[in-house]
Amino acid sequence: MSIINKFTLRSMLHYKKRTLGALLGIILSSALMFSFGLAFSSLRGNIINNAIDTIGNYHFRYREVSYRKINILKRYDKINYLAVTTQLGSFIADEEDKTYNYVIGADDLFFKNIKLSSGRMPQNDQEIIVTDNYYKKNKLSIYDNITLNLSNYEGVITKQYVVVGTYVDKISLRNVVNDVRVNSVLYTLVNEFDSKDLVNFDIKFKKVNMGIYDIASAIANYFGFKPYIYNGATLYQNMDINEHYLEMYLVSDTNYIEIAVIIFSLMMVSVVLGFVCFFVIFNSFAISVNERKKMFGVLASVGATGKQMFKSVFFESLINSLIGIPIGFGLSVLLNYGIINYINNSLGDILDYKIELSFFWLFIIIQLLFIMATIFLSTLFPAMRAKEVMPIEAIRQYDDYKFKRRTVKTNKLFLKVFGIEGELARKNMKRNARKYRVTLISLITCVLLFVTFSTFLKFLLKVVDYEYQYTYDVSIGINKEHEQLQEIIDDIKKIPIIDEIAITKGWYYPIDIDLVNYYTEEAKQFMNDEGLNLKNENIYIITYDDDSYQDYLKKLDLKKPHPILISPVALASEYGIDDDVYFLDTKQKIEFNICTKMPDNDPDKQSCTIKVDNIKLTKARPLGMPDGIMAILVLPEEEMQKIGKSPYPFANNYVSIYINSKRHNEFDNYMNDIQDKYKLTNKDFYYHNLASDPYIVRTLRILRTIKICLYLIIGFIGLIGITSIYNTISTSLNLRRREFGILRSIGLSPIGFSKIILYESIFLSLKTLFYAIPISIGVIYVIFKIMHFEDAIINQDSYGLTKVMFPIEYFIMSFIIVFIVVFITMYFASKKYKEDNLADVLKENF
Amino acid sequence: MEILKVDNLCKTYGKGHTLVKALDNVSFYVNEGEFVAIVGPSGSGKSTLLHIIGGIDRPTDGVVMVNGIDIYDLNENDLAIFRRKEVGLVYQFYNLIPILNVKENITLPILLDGKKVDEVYLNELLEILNLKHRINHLPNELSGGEQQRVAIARALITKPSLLLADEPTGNLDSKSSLEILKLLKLSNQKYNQTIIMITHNQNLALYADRIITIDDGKITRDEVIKR
Repeated sequence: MSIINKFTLRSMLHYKKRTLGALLGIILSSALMFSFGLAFSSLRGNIINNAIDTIGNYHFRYREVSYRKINILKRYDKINYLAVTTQLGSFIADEEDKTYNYVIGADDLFFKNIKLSSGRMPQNDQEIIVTDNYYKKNKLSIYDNITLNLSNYEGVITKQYVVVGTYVDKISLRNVVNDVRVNSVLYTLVNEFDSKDLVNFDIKFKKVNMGIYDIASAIANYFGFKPYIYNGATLYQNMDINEHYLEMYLVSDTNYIEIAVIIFSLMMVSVVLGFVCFFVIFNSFAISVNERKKMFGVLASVGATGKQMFKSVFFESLINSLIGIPIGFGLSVLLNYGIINYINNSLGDILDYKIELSFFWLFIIIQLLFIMATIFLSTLFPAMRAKEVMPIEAIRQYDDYKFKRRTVKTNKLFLKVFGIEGELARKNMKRNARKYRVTLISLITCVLLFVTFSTFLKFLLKVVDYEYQYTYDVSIGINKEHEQLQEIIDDIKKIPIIDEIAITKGWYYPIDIDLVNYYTEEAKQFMNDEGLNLKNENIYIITYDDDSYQDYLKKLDLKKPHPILISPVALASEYGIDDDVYFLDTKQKIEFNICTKMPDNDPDKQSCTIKVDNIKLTKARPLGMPDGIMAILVLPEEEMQKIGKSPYPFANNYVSIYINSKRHNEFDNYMNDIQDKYKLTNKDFYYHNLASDPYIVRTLRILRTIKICLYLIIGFIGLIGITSIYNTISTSLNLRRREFGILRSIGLSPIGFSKIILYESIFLSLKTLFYAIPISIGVIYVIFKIMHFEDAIINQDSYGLTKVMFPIEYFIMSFIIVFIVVFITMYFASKKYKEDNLADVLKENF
Repeated sequence: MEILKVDNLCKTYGKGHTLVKALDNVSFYVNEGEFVAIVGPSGSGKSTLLHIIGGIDRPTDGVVMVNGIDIYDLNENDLAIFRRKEVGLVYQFYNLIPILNVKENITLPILLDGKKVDEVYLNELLEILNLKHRINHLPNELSGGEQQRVAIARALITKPSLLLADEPTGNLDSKSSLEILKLLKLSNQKYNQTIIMITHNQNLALYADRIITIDDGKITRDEVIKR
């Protein structure tokens, strides 16, 4: 080993903390890159599994060939797997559906594709396995005898089988039949096929490369299959290619799109991650070179060449890579395993298959190359700096004090506002702007990822909300005719976890007023554009029980009962208005007659007797009322009495109770008690709790899983950021050690010291947001535009695109998180300087 | 009037066989307005003594009273305030803050105190120390002599009870050294500033009113210069 390399090793061991920092950077960066490689590799693995489950476990399948001609293929050494099946016959499964059950004879190799759910595999042609469905439907037991009348090309034959097992039905296992109307397939073992049998057979090759298409074609020609051209490739009738399967091995005759998308995405992700990792690794090497500068200076002064110093940095990088990359790979396997396990556990019942961790070495090698390139590039620039070290400047560490007056210039007001501690913090940040650049980039990246992902998830949750338009947590309906109606309502009101409750009697009414006269210009334009005609529109009339009505009046600042008309609303960002469109001009005076009429619109049956005037127009909706393009009229109880029953019977039957409760997941227990107490049946009662709505629960579970996985990734990237932040901050503080000493020697108190650290943390956090906010908004905007998300919130209230585009709460959260991370890092990195022996520090030379 | 009293001051490093006594029962006092030079060979303990007097190093034993206050009875915060208000330190290597300009470096102790700078006094100091034309410069734009003059100005700006100078000319050429010594003497005479200066240069020590010689951590001589 050369003396320079020995020196490098020793210096690595001497500066343990710095070496660990650099190593950690490489470990985490490789872990992150490999993790994505593995994620894509698992995605590929699962596409293959899916292809096997839905299409079949083969590369090529040949149908209806004479068994006699297969024997020669069995001896072909390039074929790894050759499984044979034959249709023994079919029998009707369902007269109505015209579906058939098939009995398939297969060789023992084919049975390897089948997963039993009970019993065992057939051992001869008298034994049979059936699907779980067939087993249940026919109320069978293992070792039951079944007699089947099978139709085949020879006619109808009667066969007896012993059911020895049941298996998990997969689409691929039905595909062995050349018929789309398959209900169940029953498999029996065929030990010896007759050479005259017409059979199907599946083959898989030992080595998967483009050459297999030629062999497959040769086999097709051998059987005399008719060729045809499709997308420029020669295909054969009676020969199936498992395209999805082969594509994932990067061999396809017809299309590459799916795998190309995967590889392209992997490359794109790698470039983005590589960018982040580049800065982290670059940072750690730049720091290393900076710290070793004095040593380089001494080496240069005794005659070491620039090239030797350049090599020394690469040697350090090589050692770190040799240790860091394998550990990073191990970490990525653990991480992927953890995430996949978590997804399987939390969504196992929703996904109908288990995701598996799979290793596709090509992807892992791609990632390895990316990591190596990243490390190489990140080492190159610091190494070049090491090469150009001027001995005397390096020995004096002149660089740190070589800056222009302009660089550290601050505003006078700044001193007044933040005091000398703030001034020192600010000036120091200005001096170290270059050193902090990497930290800044790490922080900006983390904030960007956090804000973008969070906004995206929040938006998805909103879309789920909109899809169902629920503005309450629980809704209960009780038949108005129920004898104990009031007692039930009283009992519900007593439930202690209710935050807000509204009890309504709601009716749909078609009314004959022309609301369009009262519409705003915006609304008219919106209606024109949408091609809507809201004349004679249905109106939703509700009345509330006294308490709820009083609450609502209070909300609207009304002293006495009023008819209240709630404006229809739409969200119309598409129309350049970019906000909610309220249809009714709330400044106008409206009065109209309500004409009750029958659903069949017979004008003779109308009576327009109820005059509604002195209407209060509002945008505020009472609890439980969905947003939408329908006017809602809230009437006092006595007015409602005048209208009488709605012509729609369903609207009359129930008293609806809407409840908001933060603990609505506990509501079921209370409602079960009430239901039991009053013996409520489905006729008298309906109950809908969002916490137990299966579709919402399912969607929320999927979103929660995505959220946790995304936050895990963000957290991991954050961790890399923190390593970089810690490296930069601790080095930068180390270089300022003497300055801290001087400041303390002329009377900087411990509080003053903490103040400097606090201000630096605040300034760095603010600077991060200064860049992160516009970038995040830009990225969110681009994502939303590309994915046309804004269409999903058209016609919806209270969540304008503007609010989506500027997620202020996430920016505030980012600021707090960044501040805490930076402050804690700075605080701990600087703690030792606070306790430094001043006399010792001040003795050191600049 | 007695401004500094050092009583039985000890400072040891290490333990057992490796025990080194940097200061061994040192006692003396200094009156207000005195200019004291401490001389001795290197390693004799003079810097340690100065650092302990200045509140930047702690003694193993003994008492340092400045204006009647035992400074090592103070907590860390009060000790920092003591350094800020009562002591001005001048080092061999100037110890200026590189990111602050001349004016900011000089007024730093006042700014740390959150007080207003006495512009008249500042101007007077700048005039005497010939730094007026340099106030907006950064330390790296100054010569060694100029940097040391800034350090002296910083030490004097708070009108401290004690100005402690640790080999203030150790890093300067002879012309600049003489200049600095003259400035220290001037401040001693003009402002009745108490000064304790460490030097190993006997000639420079003669500028003081009194020379204390230290060897092996003990005071071996303490003599008043007769002019």
